[in-house]
Amino acid sequence: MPTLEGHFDDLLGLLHQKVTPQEMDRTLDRVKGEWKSYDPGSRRFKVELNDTNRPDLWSVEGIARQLRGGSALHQKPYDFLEKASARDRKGGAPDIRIDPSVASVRPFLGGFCARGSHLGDEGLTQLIGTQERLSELFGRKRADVAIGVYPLARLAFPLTYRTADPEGTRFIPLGAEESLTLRDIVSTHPKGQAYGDLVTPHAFWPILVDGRGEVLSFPPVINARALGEVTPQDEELFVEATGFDAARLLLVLNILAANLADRGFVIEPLLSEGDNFRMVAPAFPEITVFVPEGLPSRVLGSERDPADFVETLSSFGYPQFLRREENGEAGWEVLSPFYRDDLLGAVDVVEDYLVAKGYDTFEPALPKDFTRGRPSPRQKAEFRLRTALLAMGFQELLSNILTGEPLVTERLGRERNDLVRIDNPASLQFAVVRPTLLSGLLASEARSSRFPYPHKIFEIGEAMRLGPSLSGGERPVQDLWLLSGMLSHPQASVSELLGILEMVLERMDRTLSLRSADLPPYLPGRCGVYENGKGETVGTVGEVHPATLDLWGIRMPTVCFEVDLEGLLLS
Amino acid sequence: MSSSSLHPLERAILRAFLALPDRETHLPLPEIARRSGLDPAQVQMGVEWLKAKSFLSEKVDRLETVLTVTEGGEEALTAGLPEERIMDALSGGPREMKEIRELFPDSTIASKAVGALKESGTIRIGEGGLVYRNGELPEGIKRLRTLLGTIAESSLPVTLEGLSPEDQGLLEQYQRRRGKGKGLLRFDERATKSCCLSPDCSLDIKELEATESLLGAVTPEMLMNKSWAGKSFRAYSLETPPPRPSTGHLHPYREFLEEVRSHLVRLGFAEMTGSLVEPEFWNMDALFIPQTHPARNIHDIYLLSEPRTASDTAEWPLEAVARTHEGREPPTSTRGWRQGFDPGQSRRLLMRSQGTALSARTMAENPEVPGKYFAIARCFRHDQVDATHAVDFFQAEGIVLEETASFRTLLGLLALLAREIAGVDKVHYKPAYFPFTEPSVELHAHHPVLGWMELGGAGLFRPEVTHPLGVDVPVIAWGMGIDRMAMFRLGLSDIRDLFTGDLSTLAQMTRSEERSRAWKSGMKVAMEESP
Repeated sequence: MPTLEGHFDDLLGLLHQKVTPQEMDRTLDRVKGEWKSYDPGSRRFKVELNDTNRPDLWSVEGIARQLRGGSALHQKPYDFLEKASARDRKGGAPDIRIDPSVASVRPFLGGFCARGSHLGDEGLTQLIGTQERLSELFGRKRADVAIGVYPLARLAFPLTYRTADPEGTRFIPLGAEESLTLRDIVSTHPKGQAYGDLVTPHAFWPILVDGRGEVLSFPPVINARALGEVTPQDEELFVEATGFDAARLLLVLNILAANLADRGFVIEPLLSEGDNFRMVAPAFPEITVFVPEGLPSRVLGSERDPADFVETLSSFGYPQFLRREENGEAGWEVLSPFYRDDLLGAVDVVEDYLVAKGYDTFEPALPKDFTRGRPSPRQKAEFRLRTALLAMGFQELLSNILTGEPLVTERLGRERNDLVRIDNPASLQFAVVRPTLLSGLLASEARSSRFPYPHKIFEIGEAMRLGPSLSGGERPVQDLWLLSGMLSHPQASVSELLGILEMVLERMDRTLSLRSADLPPYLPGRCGVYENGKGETVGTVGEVHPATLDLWGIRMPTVCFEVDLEGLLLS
Repeated sequence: MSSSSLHPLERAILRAFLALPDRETHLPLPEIARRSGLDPAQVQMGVEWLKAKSFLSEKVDRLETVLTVTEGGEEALTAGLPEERIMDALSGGPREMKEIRELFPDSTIASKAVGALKESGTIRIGEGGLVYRNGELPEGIKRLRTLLGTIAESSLPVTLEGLSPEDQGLLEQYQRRRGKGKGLLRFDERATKSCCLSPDCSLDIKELEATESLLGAVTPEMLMNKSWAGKSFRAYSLETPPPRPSTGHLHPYREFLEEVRSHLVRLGFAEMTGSLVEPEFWNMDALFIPQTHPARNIHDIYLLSEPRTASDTAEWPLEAVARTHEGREPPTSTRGWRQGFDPGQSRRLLMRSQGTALSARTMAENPEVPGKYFAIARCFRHDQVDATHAVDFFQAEGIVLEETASFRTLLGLLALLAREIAGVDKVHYKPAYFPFTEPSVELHAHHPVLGWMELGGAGLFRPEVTHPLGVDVPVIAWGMGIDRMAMFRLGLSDIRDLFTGDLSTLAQMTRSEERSRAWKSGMKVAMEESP
């Protein structure tokens, strides 16, 4: 989730309405935001934005814009959109030339100029923050979209976006003192180390140069210090974005243009052009969605006035509703605001309508239809087993399902070739899916030596192993449903446990045959397996070998059992 | 303080005391055992009872310090004391300090022993930091070794007080130098006690004997031959602490989950279950989560190393889901995610990251309409485990399929769940974003103690979710983070304790559970009683 930090006065300045910090959490409902913290001393706040599909809201300017109702500040329309169509119609030589050499590396670049204001300290902080959030989260760590901002005064147009030889091209990057080759930047500069992987697979790497051939930047890695260092006083800026998807670039540039316009800048769209690419940015992408007239009422569950729908959304930033019919139902062709690309279908528009009205204004209703409630059959069986064991004084355990491999192998004296392993474990402690519940019981006993004896514990739960090979040689995963129990006290014996198991089987009305068999972690001669009528092994029981107890640090005689419940209940 | 309620053990002990010529004579516990004919455990028990009833009083005769050899001491007996080992090492010529340090797992042992030897003049440190042997092993160390051996082999407990003052000084000095936990010996204080009749006790032997003929336990024989008729029964003292049976209990978290389950069943929900392992298709794709979504990268989910991919793809509506992701009609009118869909990624197997996977499967398997389904599913997230993140956890999820299901029905259902499951009446519906629902809402509830807290997320499934799975009625989907509710209920601040194996923590959770229940009903009563 994107989080952003800002200054409350900066927000109020952009909002043009009175609101107190106390009212902010509810106010932020309209932008799906949460007021995380506010410091009355510094008046700085933190907000978390929950709509990962609306990057236009990931800035103080964007939040303020939506809260204003989607309109430009001071009721001025975002007039650069008309300038964009004019620039588009005019055509002629591009302001930014896209060289064919970038096609396979990072094919697209779009940009615009902003003049006539200045950011100030807070404005610059916000611009950098927004740039970070857009390129890290929306641009997926700059892989899809990377953004550059430059002081315009020092640039000579037209610009050229082309590739260059990593060894033969050098400039002083931001944050460095001396001139470095592109190759050096990738290996030594912090930004190069962070983002270099995006270009290193290629022989030639992208650079942006101005009309005099001076390097502006090495997208998506770093700007040049000479041409690419922005200060709070700069009154003219150049903003660009590079990437692979023209629609995403345009969205990012539209958002940045709207943000700068709200800070008083006049936006001048630029034309980027190459062999297979032509873009004027910012520009109206003209995304429309058809909303059937009856849909708002159907989604909400009560009749809504169509006029209210149009009126409410018009003051939520929607610029246009055209009446038309689709599949025999009348409705509207709704135009998306130019800074949004999150409307996938009609329900998205309806949700905005509901958000704009306020969720708390609707009268909750209950589902009308009767339905039959029921627990899963497995739960019913588990309930009977649990009550049987509780009646015999057993305490239930619940353990984690992911565990460490040694706990289910070495510590039980077992070798296994049927473990379900995690490919990318966060820690070796949780690197395999448990194939048995016995380790959890022994771990519990190892931790509980100070708890009054006798200890009687059990767990019923899910586990997993690899099944036998299929025809293709692959081994499928197999879900297990197990019951394990443990007795630990000075006189604990197999016969005491066998008696308990007999009672459990009787409770479930099942018969199993017990056969002596030596298997770890049990003492040879004091353990066995349970078989069902088909001769399948469905359980083990025995006295835990002192050597195993020693591995766990247990100093108390201990006996255990484990039963495969599927095998037991199907028998 | 009546003698009619005395237990036979108490009588035996009192008889021993009342037989003494002097009521103020103290008897040590072993002497009481000898005179009463009881075994030491019985004496212990009877004396405790009699003390509680003020028949006897007790005094501490002397404190003794019992010595036992620690693990460190055992090691010193086999491998030698640090001083001995250093002297041994030096007998072959001078060594560097570094070499001496390497003799021990902990360098502070080396520096302390070297310091002590230097002080006694047994070694000296020469030029270049070389350590030289300068004499014989100090007598104190030899004596210490002998003492350790004696204590280790003695069959009777050895007390500090039983040793000569020189030996006592040696041990105490050595123990102090070693510091806590690293010592050779453990010092356990033990009190020797004796008892006498309490000054408050006015009982005499006659009175004791007069109540002797009272009947004790009711026996089957007594009932059979009616030998009790005409006699009196000895009164039992109900204040005596009773023996406690060992008991079992449902896991307190399980108890909470069962409660949630029974609420949902009562509200008409049928339970869904499934495998812990899901392909990304059911866990993500079918829920219209874009394949490039951050929640799908390897830092958020657990992938399997073998098998890596699912093989039952033939049964999946893969084509319809792929078309929807790409924004191609039919079956769904949508702009989609406008990016390529990789069926290879769909097949990747992961540990179920959300219970909603079960809802997706249910919708694809001809669900009942109208129908309500729920799951309490174990889910897995790739997080560093700490007080607020568990490696696996439970999620409660549900869906409602109904011709007339709507956003208002969803709000009503959420309020109902908040009241039934969490016991809260005051809720706020906060707009939210989930890739699979639109409209989406977060349910916030006002807790009397904790204030506003998020209980769960919900929404109406997008047509992009329902249409490819063959469902054409509106579907309400909701999910609740029940772990947090449970933690509050069980008085836990660390989520890892939900799955602890520590039996005392479990017992504590059970008690907290009862307390929070009492508190809750107490609150209700208070609220209902207020005018």
